[in-house]
Amino acid sequence: MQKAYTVEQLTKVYKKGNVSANDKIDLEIAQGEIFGVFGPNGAGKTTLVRQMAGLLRPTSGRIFLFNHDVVAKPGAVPHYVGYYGQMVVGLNAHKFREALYITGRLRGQSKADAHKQTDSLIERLDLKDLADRLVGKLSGGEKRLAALLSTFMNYPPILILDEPTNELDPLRRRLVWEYLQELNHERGTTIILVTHNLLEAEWVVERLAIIDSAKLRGLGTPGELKRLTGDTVRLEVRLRDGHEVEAEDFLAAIPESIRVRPGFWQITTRREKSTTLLSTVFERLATAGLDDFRLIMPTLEDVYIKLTGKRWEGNNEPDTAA
Amino acid sequence: MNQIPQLNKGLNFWKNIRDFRWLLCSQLFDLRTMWYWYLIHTTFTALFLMVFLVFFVGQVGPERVRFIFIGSLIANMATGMMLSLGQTIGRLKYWNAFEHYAALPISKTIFVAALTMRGVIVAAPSLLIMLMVGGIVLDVWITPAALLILMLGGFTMAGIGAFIGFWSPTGEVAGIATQVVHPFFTFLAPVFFPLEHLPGTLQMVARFIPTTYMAEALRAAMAGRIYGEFWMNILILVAFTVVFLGLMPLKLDWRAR
Repeated sequence: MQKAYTVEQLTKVYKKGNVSANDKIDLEIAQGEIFGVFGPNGAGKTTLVRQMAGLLRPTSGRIFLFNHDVVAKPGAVPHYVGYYGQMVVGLNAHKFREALYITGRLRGQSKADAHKQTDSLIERLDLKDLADRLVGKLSGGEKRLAALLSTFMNYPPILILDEPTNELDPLRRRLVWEYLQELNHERGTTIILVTHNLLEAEWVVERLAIIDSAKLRGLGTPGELKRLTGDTVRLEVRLRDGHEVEAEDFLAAIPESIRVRPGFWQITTRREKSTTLLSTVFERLATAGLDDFRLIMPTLEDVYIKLTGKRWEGNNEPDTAA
Repeated sequence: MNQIPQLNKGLNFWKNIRDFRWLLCSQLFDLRTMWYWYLIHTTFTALFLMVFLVFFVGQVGPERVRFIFIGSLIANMATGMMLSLGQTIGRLKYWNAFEHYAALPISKTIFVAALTMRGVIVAAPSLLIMLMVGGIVLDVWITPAALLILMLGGFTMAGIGAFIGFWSPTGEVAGIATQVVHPFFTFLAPVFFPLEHLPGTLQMVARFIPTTYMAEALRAAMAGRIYGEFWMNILILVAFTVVFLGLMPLKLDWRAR
């Protein structure tokens, strides 16, 4: 499989404040891959992808895009990459439809193709009501949608999307993800997704890089990364009101149990011991206080904690792309 | 499956023409809701300056009136094209709006040309108003040769505004820089008076200011002196335009530092 991107020892230090934003990052992204860049706010994710998009000059290191050295010659990047950034400006005076159409024409689309794709995107995302309104007069999420959809015009081989589903309502979020997955499956579009949403990172991407404090902390598929946590599972137990005292004495005696708050406990154990743990807890608490329980396989939050030693403070919002 | 496009390293003339059209279109969209503010801003400053000067100098001959009129035209262009465009670009930089365009496969030169043309178009209505007022009130009428100078000078002013806007590190600096440069171009150049009225050192400095050549060429054109020095002034204005519009984008790096 051809490599879309090769990043070698990429470093970025912002002169103002002497802030290290990326520190010797190495990674490769295959063509046609859905690749995630995951980490908390301020980790260096946006800095990384802006350099890959040719919008920020690296301090040192190299970036190759289909064998073009884009540090030396960033002019090649726009021919291959559609970039969606966190700032949404430059389109405010356009109508929604114009923002898409004109971006398509500037990307080299013919008049007919630009009209066709514009109409198709508006139809697909159910945006007819917005189509002839000024982007500057729309809500924050709708403005972002205009910028995001304009990135898709003329089907760039690579899409770099920096937190694309922020501020989108759940329905439009799902529609956007369906469209992106279709682009990936049918056109082989490489999608590089920056996210601090755990569920997006787990369910949408095929491989991801975990960035924290400017460094690359982990690189692999979600499954590979989760195995780094040592094959543990987590049992969450909620107790009924009035039964906490006797039940909590029992739970406190189980190794690796943590009382998160009154009536809510987490117990970590190895995968092979999970059945025994469940039986023990059920046997003791089924009629004496158990209100609800959940057995959770390792998540990227656990991976993040394992790799960085820090608690995850990011977004755990459910039902995004899944 | 997406075919990986081959990178076209050559000059794509027709794409550049189309891109210019669409970029200009995009840049003019904000006039939808703001055109009257631009018109007020660019017209009234120079118009009031002209009126003030006419009242201030009192009864004078046609030669002095011509100086006032041409000076006011140039002040209008400096405000409407240089100042306005420089501040617009500074504002776009502040909002990081260039990132949207930097991420598109367009030529920087074409982008700068579209921005510059926007500056000229935005200032054109106020320039027309000034020309009409000059003709009707002051009995000073523009000639075809003078129109050529105005067009060329317009691109020079807009190019300088674009240059200041792009090279300023922040939008605020762009706004301040254009407001510092504006009086140089308007009052320290022989725009309202002959070059000989300036002290020797300032006469030398004035030779590096494009409005010097605009003013001299305009006065020559309106006096019917379209020979010799007139064409030299045109050549110098073309050189200024080429430098600011032609060479500047080549050095322009879209990338933030």
